[in-house]
Amino acid sequence: MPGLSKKATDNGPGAAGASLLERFKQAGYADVAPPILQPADVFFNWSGEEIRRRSFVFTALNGEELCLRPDLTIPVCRLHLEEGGNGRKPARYCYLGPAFRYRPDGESDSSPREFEQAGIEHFGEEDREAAEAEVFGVALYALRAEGLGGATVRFGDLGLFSALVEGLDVPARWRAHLRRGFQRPRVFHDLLHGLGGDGRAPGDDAAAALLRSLAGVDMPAATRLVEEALRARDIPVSGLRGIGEIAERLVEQAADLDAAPLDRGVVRLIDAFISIKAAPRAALDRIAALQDAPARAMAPALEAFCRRLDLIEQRGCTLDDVQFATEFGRNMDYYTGFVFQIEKPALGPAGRIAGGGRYDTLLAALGAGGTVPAVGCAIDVNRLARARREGAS
Amino acid sequence: MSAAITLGVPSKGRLREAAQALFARAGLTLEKSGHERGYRGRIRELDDVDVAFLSAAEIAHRLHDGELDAGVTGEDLLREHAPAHGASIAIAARLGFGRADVVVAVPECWLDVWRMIDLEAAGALFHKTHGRRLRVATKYVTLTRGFFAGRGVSAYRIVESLGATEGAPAAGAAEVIVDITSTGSTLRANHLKVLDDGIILKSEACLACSRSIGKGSAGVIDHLAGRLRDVL
Repeated sequence: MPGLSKKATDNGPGAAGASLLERFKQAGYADVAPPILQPADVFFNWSGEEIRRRSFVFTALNGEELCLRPDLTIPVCRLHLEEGGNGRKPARYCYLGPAFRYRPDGESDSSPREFEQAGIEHFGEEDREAAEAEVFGVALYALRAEGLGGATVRFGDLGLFSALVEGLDVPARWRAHLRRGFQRPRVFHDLLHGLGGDGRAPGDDAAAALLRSLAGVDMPAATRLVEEALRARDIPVSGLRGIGEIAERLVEQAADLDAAPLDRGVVRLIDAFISIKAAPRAALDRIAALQDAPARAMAPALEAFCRRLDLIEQRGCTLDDVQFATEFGRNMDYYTGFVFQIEKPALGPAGRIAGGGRYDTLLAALGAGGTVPAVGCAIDVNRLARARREGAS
Repeated sequence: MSAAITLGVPSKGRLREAAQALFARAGLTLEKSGHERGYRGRIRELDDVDVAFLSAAEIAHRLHDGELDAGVTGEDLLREHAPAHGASIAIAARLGFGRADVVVAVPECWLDVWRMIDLEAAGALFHKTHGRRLRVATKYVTLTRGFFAGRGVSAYRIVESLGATEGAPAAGAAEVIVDITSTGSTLRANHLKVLDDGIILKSEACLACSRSIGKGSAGVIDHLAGRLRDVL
């Protein structure tokens, strides 16, 4: 019946999605269809306000907070965990279905509120580079087979910065700050220059006196001192955040009070690292050649990087169209290692067709017993269909 | 003669009283038309103004939607409910009353948290320890998101609060609040402290107008703004 369904047209998202799904199934990924309605709490405890402001959230009549899934990765993870076990059993899933995003600046053809997402998720594979090369290869091959020619690929690897930080000669307490700060590009430089103390304690005089008393004190003693300080000022302790957490941070602040700022050489090293942008193998050489880089700490991450590239090439993908940047992916909280994006830059935001990477902390956060290796890729099927039409015309 | 503009005026509370007093000083009498409980009114001395008595939040909404030509309301509400208010709404006059700050406040017992950057670090540790995000109770969802993002704070989630926000931490509904305060006494009574760099907005009541009004209406609003400014 012509005209009845847009999905039946050859270039529409419907046809492209169905045939992507078919290709994923042929590659060994099991087809799953998680619920469209998801518990808001689970979603936003993980992904935070940046995603929430772009989601449709509502309250059911019984008070339950729900959302229309803004993405299919978390729903697929939840489905996987419902299979039982501790979530570590290796599994490959593929999906196709609608996802929903509120567009604060208004919806457009390239960014509709409701769009089709297809994708794959690969859980539990301990050979990380093999799983990464496979997911990237399967996604790229499927997109090319669907007629996406001349796409550009961007690579990043968040594991590299992590390894660099691990090897830095800085107080251990700063490493977590540096890793988190890296994923907040807007404030990262302030953070780099704010590490260390100028001898001035934050807060009021009593707080400053307390801080001075905490230098070099162990945790039980610190907790006791904090309790005493609160009692002396008649401040009640309330809420989930316990004295132990407060004391832990105070002990760090006490150690920072007279600490020298981050070494200028380290700041230079980090800046040099962040600015690397090149073809993948050239980038690898430049990272390895960074002056004063902690070579030993970084060796495993660099080897993994190199092995991943080999495995990708062995799958028949060339690296000719690939741009690597150390910065790429740092604003995506979700990912923990390899990240990639397949795009048509000429189409602007509508050209960001597929993205994926490693997210090893998500399944644990959703209730798996411990860290579960996970890597996946999501394809915006509407954008794929559009890119294909524009490519054809 | 038909009214040229519709002006929203707060229908109750401190803002209503202060607006009425300011208008009176400018020789303008706000009065209801019809029965005493009605929501329509006029300014006795100005024929070309139709008054709608509405809640302050409703005034901000309707200005944004272009349903009101002008209105008296808090800048906090203009920013919250009409976030791109530079595009849809202009401030014609700041009225000097209803002064209050929208602030970020945490429990006084958090001796390790004084600045926004501490909040991010404490939030990250909290997430790791409890497997959930710090909850921020507020009715200022848009202002909170914008302010936190600008300071690199992302380890939190918002719990919408429709009243008595300052009680949320004690009730266990949230750890942090973003709320409006004029003297800080309610915060202190609830054992909360404002972060050193936690002032999101210094707010006061404003006469605001929709940017979609015509020239004739703009003249009426200019006249009104001028008379109010003269008596500030």
